Amino acid sequence: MGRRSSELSNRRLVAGSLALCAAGVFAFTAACTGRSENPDASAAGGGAAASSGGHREDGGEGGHPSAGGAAGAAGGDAPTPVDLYDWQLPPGFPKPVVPANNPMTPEKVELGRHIFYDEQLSGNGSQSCASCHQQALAFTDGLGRAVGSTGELHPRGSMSLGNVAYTSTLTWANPLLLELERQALVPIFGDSPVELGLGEQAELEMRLAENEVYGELFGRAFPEQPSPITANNAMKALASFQRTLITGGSPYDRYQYLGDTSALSAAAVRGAALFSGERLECFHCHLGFNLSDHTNYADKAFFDEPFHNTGLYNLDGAGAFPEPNRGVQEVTGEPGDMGRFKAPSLRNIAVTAPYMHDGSIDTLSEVLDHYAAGGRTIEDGPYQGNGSESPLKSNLVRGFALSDRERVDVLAFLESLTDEEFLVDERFSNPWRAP
Amino acid sequence: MRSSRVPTACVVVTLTVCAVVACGDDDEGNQPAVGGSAAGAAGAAAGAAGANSVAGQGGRGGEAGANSGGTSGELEEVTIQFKATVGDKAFACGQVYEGQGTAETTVVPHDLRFFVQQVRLIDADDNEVPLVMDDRPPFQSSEVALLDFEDGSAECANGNSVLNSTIVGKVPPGNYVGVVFSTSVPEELNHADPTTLPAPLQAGGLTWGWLFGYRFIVAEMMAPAHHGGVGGAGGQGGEASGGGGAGFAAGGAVHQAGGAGSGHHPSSPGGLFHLGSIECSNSEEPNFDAPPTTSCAKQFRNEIRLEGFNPSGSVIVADIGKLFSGVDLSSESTCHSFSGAACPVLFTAVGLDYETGDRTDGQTFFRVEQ
Repeated sequence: MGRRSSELSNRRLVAGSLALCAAGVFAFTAACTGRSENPDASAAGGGAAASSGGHREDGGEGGHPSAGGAAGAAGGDAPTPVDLYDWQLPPGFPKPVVPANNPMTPEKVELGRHIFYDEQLSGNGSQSCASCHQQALAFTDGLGRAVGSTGELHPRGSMSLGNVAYTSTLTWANPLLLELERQALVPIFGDSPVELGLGEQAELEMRLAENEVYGELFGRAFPEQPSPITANNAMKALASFQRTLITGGSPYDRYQYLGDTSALSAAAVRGAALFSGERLECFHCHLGFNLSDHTNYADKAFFDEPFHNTGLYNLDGAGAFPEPNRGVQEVTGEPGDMGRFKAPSLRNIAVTAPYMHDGSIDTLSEVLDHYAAGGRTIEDGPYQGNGSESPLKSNLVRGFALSDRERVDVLAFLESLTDEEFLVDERFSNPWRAP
Repeated sequence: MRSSRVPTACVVVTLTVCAVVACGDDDEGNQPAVGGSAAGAAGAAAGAAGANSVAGQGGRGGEAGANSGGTSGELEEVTIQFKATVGDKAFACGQVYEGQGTAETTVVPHDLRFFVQQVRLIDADDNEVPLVMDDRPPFQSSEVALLDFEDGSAECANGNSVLNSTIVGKVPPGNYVGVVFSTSVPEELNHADPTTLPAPLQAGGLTWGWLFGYRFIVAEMMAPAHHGGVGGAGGQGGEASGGGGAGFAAGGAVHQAGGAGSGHHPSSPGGLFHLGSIECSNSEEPNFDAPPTTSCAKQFRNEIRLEGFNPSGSVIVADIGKLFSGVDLSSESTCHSFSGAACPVLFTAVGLDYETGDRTDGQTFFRVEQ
């Protein structure tokens, strides 16, 4: 039953993708003519935008094309229109959203891949993006909470970057973070906590300029710019590379989208039905091709960015989560946003332990315990509380009975979501390492 | 050392910008007409370059050139001089200050930087006269200036070696008796992509990436024993005290995540104050081709009004000792604007009501010295 309903939604998705292709030319035209509303320029305001180009040490010619000079940027970054990029999407996958000012090109992707794996871009040269986003672990790090370049412990765990192009908002609980181009600034420059620990934009640009490999890579990625080694371009390239991290080749996909009935075990098929049933309710939040309700793609009718409080904590009987991990509330200040976090994609979930935003659950079986109980009870210690009684808890986390056999079945289903090829795909591997 | 490279770049930046500055100034339609402003601005920028090369110590070095360029206008150049103190002692990274906060704690500086905008001088008739700010990268644009008192040394390793204690601008000649300013970043710039903004609003530094803005004030003084975690070039792994991990431990089913220690500021005794706009949201359906439509329910933009200030002889003192005088620095007294037990007291000290975000009288962070 679960399969049938999923198939239906899959057909809808495909139909939507086709419609999108037809509209593609129009969409691109709109993107180009919309250049007068270049975000860089409109954001910076008159005088600021006018002068921003000239502030770069490598932008001696005033009108630095990438640094917010709207006229300079017009079309300058776009040797390949967005709709011509060969995404090599798995069956059932719609096209990702790509900002109009950063169309995909293979050259930017290749540059971004080098930046992603470059340890020189951390303050002390000890970490790269890939330190916390390791391909073999579906671009996570196996830790409950990430550890930055200076040893500082992050409040939250590194999220998988698989299908990050499809997530409505980025990171665990931040409605403001919509674009990878902006999000990348947080781990690179953030100091509370320190992640990669670079202090200043000028320093990033200097380090890039010091490596001659980048001269060629930036030149190819931004061929119309006389001095392309800028932080702005680096973020565009990083985002482009990350958008290619598409994972859709799991046994579940072969069964679901390619009709390979031998791809899943009988247990996994039973587990899929349980997953999609009204008793366990998993699918309400982990739905669709990306197994997440926090999913966006090109031409999607509505933008959805749901966040959920799953009763993981209830410190005070009023639903409080421990600081500094209070979810969306930290951003919006809304009391009702306490403990609301994104339901991430479950793709490759078997290799991304431990679980939850703070890594506070070790295994998938214990995750099932949490949901079966309708929220976690912590018996003692500073985080004592009965999450199932949280007044802020999602009404979809109601608890359920789960037999031992059913547990095995659901786990078999979750394990069938691992895309082994994604974990070793050369396109996503470290380009600095000799093959 | 990474930080030592920054000022070198700044000098180059300054020179390239001179031509642009003139255009920017001319476009400022909301200011009195300025004869010869282009030349004046260029002179000021050249002066700033000189200041940069000695790490901000010689802020007045370029004044002669600037004045000569601006003589045909009605405005004269003034330099608003700031200085940072811990009580009566000069603020400096690497120094130890005893007797701070309500518990008279010994602390060391970790940071002191803040943005200033909307500077107005008060004349004898109590009129507020706007200071027309020069583009003086990397420290100020026409809209906002960065005052920077940390030199990247010692526990201030998160910063850089560049210092700035002045704002340079122009006002009509007159007898001024006070100054008004806000320690904040203009809202229209605060949420834009920092990689596209002019200095001092660049990526890194005081950006507050995940909250989509800048920290208006960063002031940190921590107990000496707990100053680890920033590692710096040595990469010493942040003093694996286990404090962070232990703090996270809980009974029952909760997994004690991570064995690594934490250098995270909140686990350390001392005072940490990060002021910035909070409670922001994307009010409409997001437009991926435009900047985030972030509007913040609490802007937290103050207005500091100081009497007895004359630009020719007065100095604005930013007293971080006074700022933290109302909190217990022997424990963790932090305020990240969105959370932190020390927020109400620290907000009062910078002229804001923490609950409402309203501006209040009675700020204590700044004072005037002659």
